Amino acid sequence: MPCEAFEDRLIDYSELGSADVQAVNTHLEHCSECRSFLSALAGIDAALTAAFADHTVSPEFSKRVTHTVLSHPALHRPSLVPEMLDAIGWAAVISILLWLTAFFVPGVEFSTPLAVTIGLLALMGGFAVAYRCYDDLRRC
Amino acid sequence: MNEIEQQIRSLLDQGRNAQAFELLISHFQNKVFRLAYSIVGSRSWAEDTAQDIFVRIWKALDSYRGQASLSTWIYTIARNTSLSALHAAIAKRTVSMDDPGVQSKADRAGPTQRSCDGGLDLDLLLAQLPETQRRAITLFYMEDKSYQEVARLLDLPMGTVKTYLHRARKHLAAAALESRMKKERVDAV
Repeated sequence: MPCEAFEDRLIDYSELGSADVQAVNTHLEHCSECRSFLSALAGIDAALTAAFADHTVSPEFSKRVTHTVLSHPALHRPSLVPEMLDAIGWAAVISILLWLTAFFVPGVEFSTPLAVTIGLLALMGGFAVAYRCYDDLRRC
Repeated sequence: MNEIEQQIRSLLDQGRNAQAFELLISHFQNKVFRLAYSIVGSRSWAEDTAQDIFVRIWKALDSYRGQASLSTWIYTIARNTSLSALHAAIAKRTVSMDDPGVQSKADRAGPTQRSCDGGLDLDLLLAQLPETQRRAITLFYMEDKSYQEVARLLDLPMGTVKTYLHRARKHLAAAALESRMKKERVDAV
């Protein structure tokens, strides 16, 4: 095993400053253990360089990925529109229920402006629900 | 942000996602593949994982709003997907040790056994390292020995990368030295 005082400097030998390199080289002249350790490090470095240099994907990779990706439609940004359409639809349902109440429950009467408002809400709700259904079908 | 990233961002802003994706894949495929390789440890597995990563990127492309740089966003998806693949494989192996789809840690490097000085099995040596050190040293040699790239890809501080590499080299050299000494003793006998 290498000398404790030089082990770290041997591991980082390629990044040492000139003063450290000189100190390590002087030590290496007299220490066979450290010379062996440095030689082992160089062997590991050469083997790793040979094993991992120029690692790239196979040539057909991007074609394969593009083909796969085309079968996965991209997700769209979350939109508030469907939620708003749902809210309008529910408002319409409530309006219709209120209207039916006015028609069939004795003693309950609405003023004309309120009845018109409820009617308009019901109409808008109808459109909203219809559009939502159309949109859902289009996405299928 | 470099020129390619700017081009991709501009295409995305124009809603030309398919073109943006083509540019993205040609620019990032090797980086993503290497990052996946450093985590999963085998070539074929890394390619499959890289493919999954790009599918995820494609699906999420519309939600990318530029809050992080494009490369940071891509590497985060790549790391998370690779780690999920690795953890899923480990969990699968725990359930069934005989599953042929799950390779052991030692044979993850594939059919070609790489050796280093003195006929030492490099893949076996790497497999003995802690995961963090193995990832760092694999990426370091794949990325032209750039500490900065390793730090960027693994999202680690540069000092941490240097520490991992230092420890990995120390471990590998000690193992190589020990093996060489054993061989010399056997030869002497």
